[in-house]
Amino acid sequence: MDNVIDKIISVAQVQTHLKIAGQGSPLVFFHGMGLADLWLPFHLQLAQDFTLYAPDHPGFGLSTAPDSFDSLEDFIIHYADLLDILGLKQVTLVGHSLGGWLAAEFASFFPERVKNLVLISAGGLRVATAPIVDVFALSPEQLAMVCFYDLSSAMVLASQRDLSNMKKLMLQDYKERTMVAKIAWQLGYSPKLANRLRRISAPTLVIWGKDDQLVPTAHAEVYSQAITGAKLALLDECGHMPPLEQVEQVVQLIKDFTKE
Amino acid sequence: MTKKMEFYYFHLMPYPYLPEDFNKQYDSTWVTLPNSLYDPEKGHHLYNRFLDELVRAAELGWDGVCVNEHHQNAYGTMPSPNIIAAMLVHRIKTAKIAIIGNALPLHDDPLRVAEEIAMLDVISGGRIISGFVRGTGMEYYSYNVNPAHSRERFYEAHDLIIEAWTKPGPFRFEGKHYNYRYVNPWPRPLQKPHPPIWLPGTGSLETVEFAAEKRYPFMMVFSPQSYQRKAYDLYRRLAEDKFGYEAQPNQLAFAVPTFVAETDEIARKEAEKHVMWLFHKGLHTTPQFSFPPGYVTEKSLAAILSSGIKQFSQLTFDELINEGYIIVGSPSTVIEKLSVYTEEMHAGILIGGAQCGDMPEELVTKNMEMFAKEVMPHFR
Repeated sequence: MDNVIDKIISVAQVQTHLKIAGQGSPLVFFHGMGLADLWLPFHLQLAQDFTLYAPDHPGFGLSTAPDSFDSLEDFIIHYADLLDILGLKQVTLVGHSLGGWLAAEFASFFPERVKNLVLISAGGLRVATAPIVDVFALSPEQLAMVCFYDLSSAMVLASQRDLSNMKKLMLQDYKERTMVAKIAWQLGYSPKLANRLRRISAPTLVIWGKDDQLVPTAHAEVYSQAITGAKLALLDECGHMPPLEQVEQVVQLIKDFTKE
Repeated sequence: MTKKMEFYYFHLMPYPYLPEDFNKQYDSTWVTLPNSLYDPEKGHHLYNRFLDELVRAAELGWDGVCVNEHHQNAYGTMPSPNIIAAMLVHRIKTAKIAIIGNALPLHDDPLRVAEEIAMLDVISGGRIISGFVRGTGMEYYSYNVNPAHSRERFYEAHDLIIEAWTKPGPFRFEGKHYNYRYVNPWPRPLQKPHPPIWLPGTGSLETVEFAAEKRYPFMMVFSPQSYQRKAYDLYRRLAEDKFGYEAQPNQLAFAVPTFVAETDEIARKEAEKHVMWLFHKGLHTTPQFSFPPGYVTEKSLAAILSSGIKQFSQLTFDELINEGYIIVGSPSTVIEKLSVYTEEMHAGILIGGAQCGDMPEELVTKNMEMFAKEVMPHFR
């Protein structure tokens, strides 16, 4: 896909960076932690069937955030505002990991704005028997080990980051982790999300790696049971990173699901 | 003429009985070190011994003794420094008792800190020094307090406590993190306008500026002398250029473990094992625990990444001495090194003390007595 447009849009106090590409019905993708400002095969393939909007969350990638931006509500309202500015009344919303949590929240608060919902390895829930790993306690190496079924799937990230400037990468990572801490340090989930999920009206697909060591598959089951009519797809040989580990399969699942 | 120095004896109250292969088995002395390694019987003996050491320091002529707050670790076992201070208030009759400090952001109710310090100040007849700290990065994991809010909570709790001590109550306090409809502590502190505030830190611009603005003594903790020098220069410059006064030596303090013996060689031999416990075991932890997200500003982190400063666990004994993290030597060597602070760095408060890691009681006593007899008088 050659025609990727990088845009900076002012949304309240946030300078929001997003990539727009492709054509077709609108699909908004919410990225996970450490995965802002990327153009991966996953994005490219989605853009073949959809008009893909891939924003960097406030405080991530090239998007700014004021100091006062520090709660889930701030994110949810930000995205409602962004869709208004983009003139998108209803979208297919796909979220991965942290982005999956935000997508589930957004769809609970604004069900009418979501045509189809796809949650991939989403955080956000508390499952007492299968807690999410404390990502803040892990070194980058440990985090990679926990996230990937096969570390070779992570290589695609190296091609898009300037590895010659490690200090800059570390500072960017610290900045993004700080934003995650603002919303997720104390709990790492939304205590009320499980009850809010009943409000989601869009057809929902839940995609999860069978070997997710970060957010155990028990969370996939809770999501798919709590959202009316949700379908669940569990992927073989896949950890917490389906958009990187099983690109074709995930894209095909999304395409097939949204055509139904 | 030699410039004067004030002496404070600092105790961390460590739990030294860690297994020999500790560094191989555990990646941190904090947060995750299993508390099954803690033996309360040994702890009973340790606490009482350490309290006696502080009392002994006061008897030997130290101007004050210091305690501090740490959580869920073997490095320092005073989760509540105010409790330790309460025990000392009755046993130490004239010396100051410095709590350096209460880790304000870790507490959801800083009014309690204001009340406890006021109690101690009234009971002690105005001998309390009240340090305020943010707590280590590790403690944001142990107490599950959001490190991204650390500075906000620190400043807000500070303002609340100062107001609680100085403004007639009852009054309302409305902050982002702390809210009270009735601030009206009984008792009020005895010292006026309030007990002295000290700010321990590692020299970040934000903390040094805050201290200089408020004229609070700034205390450099476990850092190379070159860093201490920079922080003091910054404090003095800010005081003069920005806040319009000349900083005094009693506003610049340094926490440097100090060991003295008959000769340099004996001092080194006696100190090494125990110093290395402090830096290699006591301060052993992971980068993630040390720097949780938001705990330092991005600017400070950039400075740390550029500084090339070594982790404590990478420092050798020689580096610790040569770079000025610690002072070890004969009385004349120690006097010479301390004189650098008074003569060149304009610093006037040593927060020293020999008890370190697993140092046995006899050696601690020997150090204290020799320091009091042969070093202290030089600076009086």
